[in-house]
Amino acid sequence: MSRIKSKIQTESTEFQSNYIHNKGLADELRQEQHDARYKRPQKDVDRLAAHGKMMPRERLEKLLDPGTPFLEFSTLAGSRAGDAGSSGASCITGIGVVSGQEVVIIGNDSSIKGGAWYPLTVKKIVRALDIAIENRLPVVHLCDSAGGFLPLQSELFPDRYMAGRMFRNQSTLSKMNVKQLALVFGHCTAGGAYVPALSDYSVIVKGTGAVFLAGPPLVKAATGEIVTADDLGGCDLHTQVSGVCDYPADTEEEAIAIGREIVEQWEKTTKWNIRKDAVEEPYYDVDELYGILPTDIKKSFDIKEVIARIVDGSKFHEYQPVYGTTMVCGFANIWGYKVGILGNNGVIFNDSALKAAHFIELCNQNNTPILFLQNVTGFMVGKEYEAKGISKDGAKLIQAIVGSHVPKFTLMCHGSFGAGNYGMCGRAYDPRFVFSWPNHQIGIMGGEQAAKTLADVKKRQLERTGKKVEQKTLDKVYEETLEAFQGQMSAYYATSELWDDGIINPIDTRNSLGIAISASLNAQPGEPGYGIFRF
Amino acid sequence: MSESYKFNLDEKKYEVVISKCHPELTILVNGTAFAVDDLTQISENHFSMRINGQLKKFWWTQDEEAIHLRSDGRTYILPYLDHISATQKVAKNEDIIKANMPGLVVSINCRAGSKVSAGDVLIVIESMKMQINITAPRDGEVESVHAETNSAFQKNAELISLKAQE
Amino acid sequence: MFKSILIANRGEIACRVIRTAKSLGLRTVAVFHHADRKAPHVNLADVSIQLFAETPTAAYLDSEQIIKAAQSVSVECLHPGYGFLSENADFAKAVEAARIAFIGPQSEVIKLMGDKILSREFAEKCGVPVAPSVTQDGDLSSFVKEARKIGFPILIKAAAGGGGKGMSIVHDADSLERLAKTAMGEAERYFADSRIYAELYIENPRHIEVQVLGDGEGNVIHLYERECSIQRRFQKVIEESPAPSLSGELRDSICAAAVDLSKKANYLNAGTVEFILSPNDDFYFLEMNTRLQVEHPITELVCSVDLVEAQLRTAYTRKLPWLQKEIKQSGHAIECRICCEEPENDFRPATGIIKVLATPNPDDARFDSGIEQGQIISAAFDSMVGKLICHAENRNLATKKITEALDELVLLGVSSNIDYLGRILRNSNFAKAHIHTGFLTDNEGELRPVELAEDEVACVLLAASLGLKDFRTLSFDTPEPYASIGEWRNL
Repeated sequence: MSRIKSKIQTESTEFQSNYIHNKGLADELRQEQHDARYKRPQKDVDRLAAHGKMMPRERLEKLLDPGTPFLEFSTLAGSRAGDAGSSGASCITGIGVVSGQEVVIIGNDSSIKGGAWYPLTVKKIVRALDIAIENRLPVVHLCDSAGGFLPLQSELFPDRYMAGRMFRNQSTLSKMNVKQLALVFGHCTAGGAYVPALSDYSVIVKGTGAVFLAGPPLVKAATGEIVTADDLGGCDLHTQVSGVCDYPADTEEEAIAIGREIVEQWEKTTKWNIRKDAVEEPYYDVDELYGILPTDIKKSFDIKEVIARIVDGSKFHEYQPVYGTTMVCGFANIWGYKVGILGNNGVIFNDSALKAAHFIELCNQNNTPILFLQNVTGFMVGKEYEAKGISKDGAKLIQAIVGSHVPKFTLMCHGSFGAGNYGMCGRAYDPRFVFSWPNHQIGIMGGEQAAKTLADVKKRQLERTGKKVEQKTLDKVYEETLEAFQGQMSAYYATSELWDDGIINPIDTRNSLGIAISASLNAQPGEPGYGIFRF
Repeated sequence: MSESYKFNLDEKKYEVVISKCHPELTILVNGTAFAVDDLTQISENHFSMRINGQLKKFWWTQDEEAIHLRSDGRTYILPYLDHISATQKVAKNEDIIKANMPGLVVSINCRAGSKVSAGDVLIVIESMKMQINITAPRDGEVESVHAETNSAFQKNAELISLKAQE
Repeated sequence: MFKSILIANRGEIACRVIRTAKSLGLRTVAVFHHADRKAPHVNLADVSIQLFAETPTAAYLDSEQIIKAAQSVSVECLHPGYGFLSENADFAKAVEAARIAFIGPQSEVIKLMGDKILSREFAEKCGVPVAPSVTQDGDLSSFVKEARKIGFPILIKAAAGGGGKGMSIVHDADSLERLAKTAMGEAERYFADSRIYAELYIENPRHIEVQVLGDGEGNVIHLYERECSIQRRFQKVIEESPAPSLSGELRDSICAAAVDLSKKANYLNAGTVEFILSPNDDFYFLEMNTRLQVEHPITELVCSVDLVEAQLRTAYTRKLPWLQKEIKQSGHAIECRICCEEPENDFRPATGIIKVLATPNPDDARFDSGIEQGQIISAAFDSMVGKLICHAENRNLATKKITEALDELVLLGVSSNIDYLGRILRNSNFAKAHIHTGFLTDNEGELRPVELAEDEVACVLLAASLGLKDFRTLSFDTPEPYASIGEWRNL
């Protein structure tokens, strides 16, 4: 494999203005994530301290092995959801190492709104459990939640992917022989009671931990019985009488120590043994990504410059280097793992789609995980391309993606528009993980195109009904559409709605992907099975 | 901060934390970093390692209360509790000895005022055709015996209480 | 030579005797209490017989049971070791009565020389210098009156005792009566004999003793002297031979006095005559030990002899194995007594399990012990568990050698005095042979452990941590790429 020769001129004014812009975006991200993780009303901090509780992130840090990373998911989930959201969707999810074992950690963030479940909390937890299922990762639950946020119950309780799905997923994991541990620090009320009950092991902290289907207020309302939380579902009851929990702990620290020792007993998963070579840092400075990404969504850049800054030794074996050149395909290594990479260098033409579909089949043949680097405005439109069957070539690409058995990873590097999102393994195509950069935008089409289209529709509608077409009306439609699109196209909106697994700083890409790939290998591969390719 | 290993040496408190494992094991002792390399287990209790490049050999063993160490001709006894024991609150209340199943008292080997040591058989009960020794959970003095020979009792019945410790 | 032997002892001395006896082809029989059932002397012996008693000590003091045991396996001789019944004249007599050879002096000699008061009187009669003294026999007030005449300071000790039990120093007349009473009480408690005696206390004295061997027919040779001045609470800690900076003339007169006394006592087998040497080279008879001493190995190394073998041969043939002129002192030997105790805590005996025992290369140092890894050290017996002995051309080299050997000696799980011994050997006053029986007290400050530097503390804590399996797992078994990524967070 040869090293990619970068053509970036770091002295150019374009590079430098890009750098300032993107570094600024990264700093904003850092600030916003920091606030979401740590900025808490003093009364919430005091309340936890008064109960002798640790802050949820302290628990997390104590649980993790020393000197190891934690890949946190969707820190900004719920951040753009207004009243329906809460900081980080009042929970913490991610992948880390506990007693040498890769695990998914799901912790209620009781420092924000009591760890109550909001609609996006449920979505984030269900997603974390999906990650556990797809990658066969054991789960450690850190339970401390006030329960479902009742005013929004219709948005978090009844539907297929709402609260019930958490317990369905827990049961599914159990059925798959994937282990789960619950550390009960605070309350597990109502549905929350099933979290420890459905875990294989559970530890409960004396005094503060409690598990019950209905808390003391509801019990009093329902039957008139007056009972304390501890008598109703505390440590002694559940570890000595009911058998709902397994281990009593005097302190949160002890609960964590017991939890770590439990995980230490577990048989280590035999991971899928894909090709792994010696690890090499990229030859080019990863920091230069800031200068490569443009300041404007409409400006293009060479995706190979991105590849050069995330793969081992900046080395890339390019497949079909001179065919379908708007789709860059090739093999490289990330943290030593052999991966196939597909990246966009412009709109997808017929040949680019065919090349991509073929390359995906090659990766499946070779047991090589696939990384999609999305910067796509869509498939080429127009009579010529329809005539050439751009739809059936796009269909073949989708068939190839869906038929893959190797793990897929999607990185939203810049734009992700229209059917291009499908053709490059968008969220709906079950990539194991989706990460976005802060400059990322997503939508069914670009904001300006959408605004133009809708203004045009309005004009024709007015003309059909014989009404006077005023430019002011059309401008208003244009402006409103553009504003709505732009608001919902941003990476922040996407991550707030959990369309991805989190925004990452471009310079953190290698570490994030390394952990993602490593985690994905806990699941053994299936068999590739393709549908009907329309030739 | 991950779980740290806590020690007392010469009446000073120390915390040992693994900072990173790669490319070189780096361990913080009260915040100061040390690079550890080439740890070799020469025999079950005998180790060698390099600390910041310097070769150190040491002998090591552990009992319930302490780590015993010998290095450079000096012996150290460092009180040490594993994480679970260290994070437990004070010892459990073991003043009242209860029956963990219903049964019949076969014999009583103590009376109020008896001095007992942990593990002493205080009372023998029979339950489901099995004789079971009920032993003292700790050293102490019997405060009172609530059972009589040949009498029956229910699960969780209080059999003996020990005088509370200070 | 005898065909079989019973060793009426335990611990390192039992092992020591068994080793020589085996090498001479004797069938060896050990006795043991239940508490010692796994002890090395039991494993080492060809046959072991259990003794039954309320306490372990009582078992080894039960002469009747021991003699029965010896008869049950028809041994030809019995070695009493040191301590326990070794200086019990009645026991020696009973052993002989059972037609078993007692490896030691005749019972009447034990009676005479083993008693502090009788032996002093005997020594005085024989013309051996004795420090002015008074014996208390009944009336305390007349004892006090007589004792005052000696002048102060005065040393008071139990008439029947050995070692440091019941000893005290009286500095002035006011406290004499009170301390005499205390000493009587202790004498009664330890030796069931409340008689005490007082003698002139010599400041900064040295303790010099002479190894003798007699044939019971009036022939006695000496195997030179041992210096045993490094003591704590009247217990020897480090012994050496020859005694440093002793003029040849003085050495000869001390040895001659020892031989003379032993000859007059018609001494049989190995014994030790102990003297007090004052700073101005006056020496006084202290007492005689009618048995093999703990510190006998330094004599063995300096004189190239096996004293246990000599004991057995003398007992069997009633002839001395060597002529006096055949005994030559060569080089220098030092012995350290390894005790399970806490030197920083007033030498309080320590108990526990020996979790790790590693000994220096036997070519460099002799380690006589009765312990092995996994053994329980209980409060039932003496805290001395072994002895480390080195021999070299001269005192400096011997000190260096034994210091290194001590560093190599590993005894973990129970507190020991190993580090303390190392500090004594490294002390500059010890190197200059500025030693006397108050050495450890006088140098107390310098003998405390040196405070560790920050880096040394860190090394200790790193070693402590890395010995823990879970710490090693966290350090070395973290899966990739997690280990390489390190403590990273996606900020």
